[in-house]
Amino acid sequence: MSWYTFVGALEQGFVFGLMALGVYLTFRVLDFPDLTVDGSLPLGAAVSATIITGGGSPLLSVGAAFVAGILAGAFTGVISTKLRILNLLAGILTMIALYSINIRIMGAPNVTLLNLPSLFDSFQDLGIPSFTVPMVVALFVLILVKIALDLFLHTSFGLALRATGDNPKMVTAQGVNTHTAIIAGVALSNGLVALSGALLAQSQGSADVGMGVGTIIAGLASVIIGEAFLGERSVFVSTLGVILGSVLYRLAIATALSFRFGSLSLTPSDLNLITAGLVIAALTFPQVRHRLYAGGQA
Amino acid sequence: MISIERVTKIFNPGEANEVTAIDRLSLNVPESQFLTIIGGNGSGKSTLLNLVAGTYFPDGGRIVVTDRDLTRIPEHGRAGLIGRVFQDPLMGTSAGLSIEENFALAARRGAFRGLGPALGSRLRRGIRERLELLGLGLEDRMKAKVGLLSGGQRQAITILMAVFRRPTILLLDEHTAALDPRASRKIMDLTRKIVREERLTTMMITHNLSHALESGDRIVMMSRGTIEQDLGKDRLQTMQAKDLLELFWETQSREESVSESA
Repeated sequence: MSWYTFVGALEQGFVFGLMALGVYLTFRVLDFPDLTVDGSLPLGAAVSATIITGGGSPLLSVGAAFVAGILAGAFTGVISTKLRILNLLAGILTMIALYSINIRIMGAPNVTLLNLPSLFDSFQDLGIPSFTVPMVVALFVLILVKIALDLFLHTSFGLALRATGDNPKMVTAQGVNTHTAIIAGVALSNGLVALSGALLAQSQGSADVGMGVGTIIAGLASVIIGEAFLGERSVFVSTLGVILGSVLYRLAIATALSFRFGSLSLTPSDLNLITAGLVIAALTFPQVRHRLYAGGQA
Repeated sequence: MISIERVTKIFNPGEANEVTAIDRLSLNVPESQFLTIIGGNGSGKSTLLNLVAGTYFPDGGRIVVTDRDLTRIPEHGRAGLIGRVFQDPLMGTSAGLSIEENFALAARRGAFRGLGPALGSRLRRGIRERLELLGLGLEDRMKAKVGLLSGGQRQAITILMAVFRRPTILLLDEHTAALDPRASRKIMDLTRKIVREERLTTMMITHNLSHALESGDRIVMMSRGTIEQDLGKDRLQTMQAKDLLELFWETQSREESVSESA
């Protein structure tokens, strides 16, 4: 793997790491399987791209993308809690609706950002090679978000969110409105995913209505790989694991795509197969490790 | 202090499996009274507690606690007044959170939860003090995840959490039923100690008739959604477990003969 490819994988790991933190927040913390993300990632991309092509500032576009993601997540949360639609289905419904909404926002199925300003422009004169700039900026944003998320989950409200995912009956008896907790949590999660989409659009130079397909898979893979390596000791370790998992996932894919057995090689269309293999390995790994240390047990 | 006024609860109304769990039941629990509720399965004991807690709304009647009409207030809305311990020791605590985090949740029962830090040194000191009273060594394991603890330990923590912020009423739903005899005794001793010291208005459901006699100022026996017997201090002075058991069997056989003839 070339240095260029490696940096590219890191960049993807960091940009999608934001999305993975969002998936962690719904899947793990809230115990809410949220499929909205396949729609909120391109939503963030669409909002950001549309604002930039309209002449708006990239920074503003990223903020707007975050807000758009929050609204999408809040919608899922509301139809799930108030209309009592199954959480899995609620996410799917929002995701489907967003497909049409994203096209409306962009005015077309895709929008190009080539030769248009991006968030990364202002960081070009840092003295590092220009192709590493998006990676560094993404890492910076990711670290900020991780710190904010860790702190949030240790506030009174954040603690209530964690308990809601763990034991909703108990938390209701403690006076927490689980509806509010779920709506807030799913909203914040999709805000992060949309943020990820906005950065992705600016780094790859385009926003496309189909770019969100498979987001949930990538997010789950990142969370699961991270847990296999770092465990779930604390919030700080869990979020670190998610980031590590996202990076390892993209590195593994980049590595797999560079394999050649004679005339055989893996192509991007094999990505889903590779992902499935990785996730199965990551899920089995903790058990294998336990068995090796615990001295064998069926 | 707790005024349950002609309360009715019907499950599955109009359907084949319709059941009247509570039938125009009225009950007045004065301040600081330790009331024990006994009765056969299906007599409506748990439903009554759930109505007071707000898990269900009644189909008729009112529930008033210290002059506040709680009847239409959802469970999380009245949680500030109510401390609750469930039958399932796993239900009162959050397994994925640490002991101190569970207490941090309880410390804000019924209060606004904002973006301030959930735990601080003062709160930790308060938690440590309460845990030391248990004599279980849990104060040295405050960062341990609650899921690692035994049922008895979790139930002890649940009780401490229920009274961490002084509740207006304490609801105990067969809270020792799932524990072994030793843990059960410890939890009942802890319960009596706390209720006595804090002078809490308490409603306790139990199947254990000796617990009922040892603890209660008053025992109410329920059957088929109504109160069959209401035994105050004067009657309880002279009663032993076997007398209570006899009374219980009498009521049960009356239930059975009615349903057989129905």
